Amino acid sequence: MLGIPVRRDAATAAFLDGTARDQFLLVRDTQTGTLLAPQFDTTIDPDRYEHVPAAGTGTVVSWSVVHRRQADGTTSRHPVGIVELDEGPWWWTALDGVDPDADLLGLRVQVAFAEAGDETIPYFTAIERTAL
Amino acid sequence: MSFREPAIAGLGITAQGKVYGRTAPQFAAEAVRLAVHDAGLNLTDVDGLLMSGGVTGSMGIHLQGDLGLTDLKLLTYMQGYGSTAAQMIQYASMAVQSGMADTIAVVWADDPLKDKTRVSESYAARSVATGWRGITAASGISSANTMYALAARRHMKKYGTTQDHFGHIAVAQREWAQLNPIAQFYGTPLTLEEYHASRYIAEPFHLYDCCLVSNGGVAVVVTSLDRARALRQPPVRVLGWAQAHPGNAGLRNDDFGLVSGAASAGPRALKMAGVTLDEIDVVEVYDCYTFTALLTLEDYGFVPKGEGGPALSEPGMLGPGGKLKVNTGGGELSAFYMWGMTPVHEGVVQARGQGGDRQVERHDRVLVSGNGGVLDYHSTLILGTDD
Repeated sequence: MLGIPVRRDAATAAFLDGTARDQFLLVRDTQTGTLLAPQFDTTIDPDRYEHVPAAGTGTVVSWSVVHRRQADGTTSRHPVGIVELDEGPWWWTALDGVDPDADLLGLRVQVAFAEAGDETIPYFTAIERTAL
Repeated sequence: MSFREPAIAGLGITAQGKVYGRTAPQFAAEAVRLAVHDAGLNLTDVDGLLMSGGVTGSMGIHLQGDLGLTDLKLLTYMQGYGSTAAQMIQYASMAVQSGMADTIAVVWADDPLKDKTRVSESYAARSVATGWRGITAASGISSANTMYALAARRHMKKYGTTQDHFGHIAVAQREWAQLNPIAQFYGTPLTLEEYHASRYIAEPFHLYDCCLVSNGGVAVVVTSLDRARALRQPPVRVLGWAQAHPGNAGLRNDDFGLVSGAASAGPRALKMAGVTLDEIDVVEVYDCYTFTALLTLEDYGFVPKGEGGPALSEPGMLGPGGKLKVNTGGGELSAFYMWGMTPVHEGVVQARGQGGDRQVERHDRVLVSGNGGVLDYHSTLILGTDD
């Protein structure tokens, strides 16, 4: 996590209301039952789409380790990744408590929440190691 | 309506790199003047102006006034990120074909670098935003470097692509840059060992997997082939083009990192041009990262899908004298970063036969790619010499 304050806008308001309650909200198409990524714009048909909590678990499908140079000249390493939620949508996120030198593909993870200024945002931590 | 064949008749480029104290519109205006002069035309001949800019956001249609252009028949600002330059040439070509305008200046400029400011801050500071993008940035994914690293990792895990494969691309393009006096890395060769020893930006990307950051501008003049034949420079025909914008990449299991828009746009552009892939002499691909070049070359079909890593690392494949003439000016990795105008510029130089020490022998057909977003937007051009 970068410690950057997150500022909500109209598009993210419902999602961030969810994270404030420690819920990761997806969008559900009530006509088809399909679960869509949080970024899906529900305003195109408010009667058709609803926000529903995800299970909060998923699998790492890609990862990177970001290197940041600190003021003292040292470098810190920060794992991030793309998590495929068990409901299907992908989420680009920070990975906490994982080995940055390990092969993280297929790692099972679960959501946690952290403050980012006045808002709360999700990140993911390891559950167990399984191969894809 | 009879169609006129379009051609690029003028090319202008400003100083590139750490050129401080000038705004993007100022770079753009100079590039347009240079391109118009290069064609043997006057600014008063210009009746169309298409423009775009990078991260600073200072470019706009006020450029018409900056240049003192009046009575334009075509004027707009476009944005398809790295795919924009080739897109603008496509729309200019269609305007020439239809007779909407006759002499269209197409320009791209940016001024992200500020004196005494770290290069990384030039882009990262602007990438933090509100909304979804802000959430992603606060999660640690705050730059294109990391987003493309996530794409590259998918390719590595699926196909066995390695950092060594990426390194071969970086080294080959640096070799080309040693033959290009305007390249920012001219005079600074790179070995594979130096590539591996360079610091990490976002694993798996080392510093030399990532493109340069440059201030400057590049412009071309698009007109009809018949008119171009009467002008100063060898005409560069715009033979074919296509775009591909997959949409919703990275939101659900898809080909993110595995397939780019080149797979769709390439065949359509070649078909329009009436050219087959093996007739392409020179390839100028968008190389914001080594990985992007690899993926794009796979998707056009120059190497088999998934085998780009080992195939492009074969001795004698890339670099000066190599089998594949790719990014012959050094590309965005080693020459300068004018987004999509980097491959456009070198494509025009090569098609004209004006590459000097780096000029390739056969240059009748040149493929140019543009790529924007995080593999979200793609454009392809097929350029050609006058037969």
